[in-house]
Amino acid sequence: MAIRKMVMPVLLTALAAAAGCGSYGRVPIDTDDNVKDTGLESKDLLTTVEIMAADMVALPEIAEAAAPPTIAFLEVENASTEYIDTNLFLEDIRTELLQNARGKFRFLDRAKIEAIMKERNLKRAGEITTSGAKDLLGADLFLTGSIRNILRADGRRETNMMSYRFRLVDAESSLVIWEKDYKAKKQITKAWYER
Amino acid sequence: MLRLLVPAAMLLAGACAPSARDLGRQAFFRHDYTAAREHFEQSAQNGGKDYVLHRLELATVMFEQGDYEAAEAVLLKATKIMRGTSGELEGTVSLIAHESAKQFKGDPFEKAMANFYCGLIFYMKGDYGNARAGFMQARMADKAGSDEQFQDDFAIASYFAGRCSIKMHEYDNARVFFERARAAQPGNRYFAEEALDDNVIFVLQLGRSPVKTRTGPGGSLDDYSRGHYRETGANVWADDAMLGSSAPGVDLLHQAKTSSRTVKDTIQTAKGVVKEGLFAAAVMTDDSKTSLMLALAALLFPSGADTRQWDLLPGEVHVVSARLKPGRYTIRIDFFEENRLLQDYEQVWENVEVLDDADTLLVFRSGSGKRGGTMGVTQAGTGDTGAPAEPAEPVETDTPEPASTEQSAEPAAGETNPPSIVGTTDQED
Repeated sequence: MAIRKMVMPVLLTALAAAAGCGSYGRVPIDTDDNVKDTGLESKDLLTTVEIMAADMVALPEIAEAAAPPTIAFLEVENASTEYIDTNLFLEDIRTELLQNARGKFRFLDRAKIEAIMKERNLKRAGEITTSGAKDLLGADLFLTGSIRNILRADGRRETNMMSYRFRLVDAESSLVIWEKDYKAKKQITKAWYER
Repeated sequence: MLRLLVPAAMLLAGACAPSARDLGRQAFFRHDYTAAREHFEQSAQNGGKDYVLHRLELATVMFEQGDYEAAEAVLLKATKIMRGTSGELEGTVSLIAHESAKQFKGDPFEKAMANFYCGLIFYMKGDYGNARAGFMQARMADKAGSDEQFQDDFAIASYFAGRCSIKMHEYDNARVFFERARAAQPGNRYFAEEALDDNVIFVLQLGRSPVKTRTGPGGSLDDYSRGHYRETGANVWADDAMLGSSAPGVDLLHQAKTSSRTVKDTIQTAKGVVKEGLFAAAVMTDDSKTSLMLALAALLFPSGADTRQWDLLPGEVHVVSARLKPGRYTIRIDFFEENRLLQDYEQVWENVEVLDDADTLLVFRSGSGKRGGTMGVTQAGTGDTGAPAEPAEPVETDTPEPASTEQSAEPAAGETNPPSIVGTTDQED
């Protein structure tokens, strides 16, 4: 009888402990993040960048260009309600584009322009060695973009439509040669006990 | 029997010894942030159901130390979990066990404050896109968890979302945010049009967080009461010129008490009624053995509300803004209890830099014996020490302007009720 009285509290304690147990391990990079919400996940970024890279490579202005155009990045504006490291976003785009570009375009690192100018000046002053003077390349195209969303909440249900909009602009004429909006929609229903 | 006493005494001593979290809280409230951080870093190594709470406490200390990069990283992890859903299993467990068996995710006002701090950090960095995301998340967390008439009353988040929108050249969005802020806090002069050109914003965290207690049948529901603190407002000075008296941006007790009840509260109430019923049955039963069993069942029956809370939060957040020439200033903050100056609450901060190419956001926290110090440079920029742009009018220090504590429950005239779209940022170029 005494043992039977102990069973329920012990069972409840075990259940509570099980609910709190965690785990650890490495997972593939495109695995869904464990936390279920409608916000940005690493998988979303990767998918968007892969699609965009394929679209850009197929552009006639790039595919049929006599010489691979040079592209400089302008900022990606976060106009959404999500926390987004826009620098990381741009770096991911650049990496993916370089991997998929097959030599179709070349990227300029304007973020490092000050360091580059300093190095050039030191070389020209003879203070450090040089393998030969080169021209500083101008940009043929600018890549810029914005991230927006529409977030709706109705009781326990939340819907989030993310929009990643990118465009290529001719750096000489300001003509928009390409623009595309990638959309992704997520929905969750929170558990009955959450608020 | 004696052989059992020693290990039993050791167990008892271990159970009574203060935890790393307790030590951290004690250090925090005596303003020893170095020690507090050490203890909270230790408690944060424990995962489990208090993962988020440990990180919120750690982030609070990091924020007070001015280590905003570290605080940002910890807060972003915490807010992601607070926003997400954990699934039905946890809820089922808390249904049959104590409510505190589930992962701590905070009440709506705690979620709002976590995002508000993220917004402040990004604002200090000049990252207005992410800052606005933080302030909008704060507004959404408050809205999602509030009774309908109290939605959209987290005024200070709306105010800062408006400032971010100006920086992003989204003037229509800015106008809407400022209207919402003014509707929620109509007496706050710093939300007015004339104050939006100010380049220095002081965010003043006053007092102690609301205190969460159990109420209802069997202590099954939670309720909040005012935390114990004296300060009701503050005056801010720059190089001995008065900049202004603080005005409230948000009252966290009001936010806590206007959270809506949900299904889980109904179930908790039912659990509480069952517990009290068992006690009543134990009293009314004639058979002593049955009475004892019923009483034991009542004692063991887990109906108690979850009283875990982020109690390092302030009680209120006030704001002061001003226009100052770029340069370095000595900032003095006087805190008041109604009209009475609290002498041992005065803070003096030296070497406070006002930038010439961005807003300067300064966040302070009240506390008895917290003297101030020399401000570290949190943003790039150089400048010679200069005088305030306009000499401030002298104000009687023993009769500060009373802070407005009105909360607007209704939208401003001409404005419709908040739509179901809680965060709309899509806008035609």
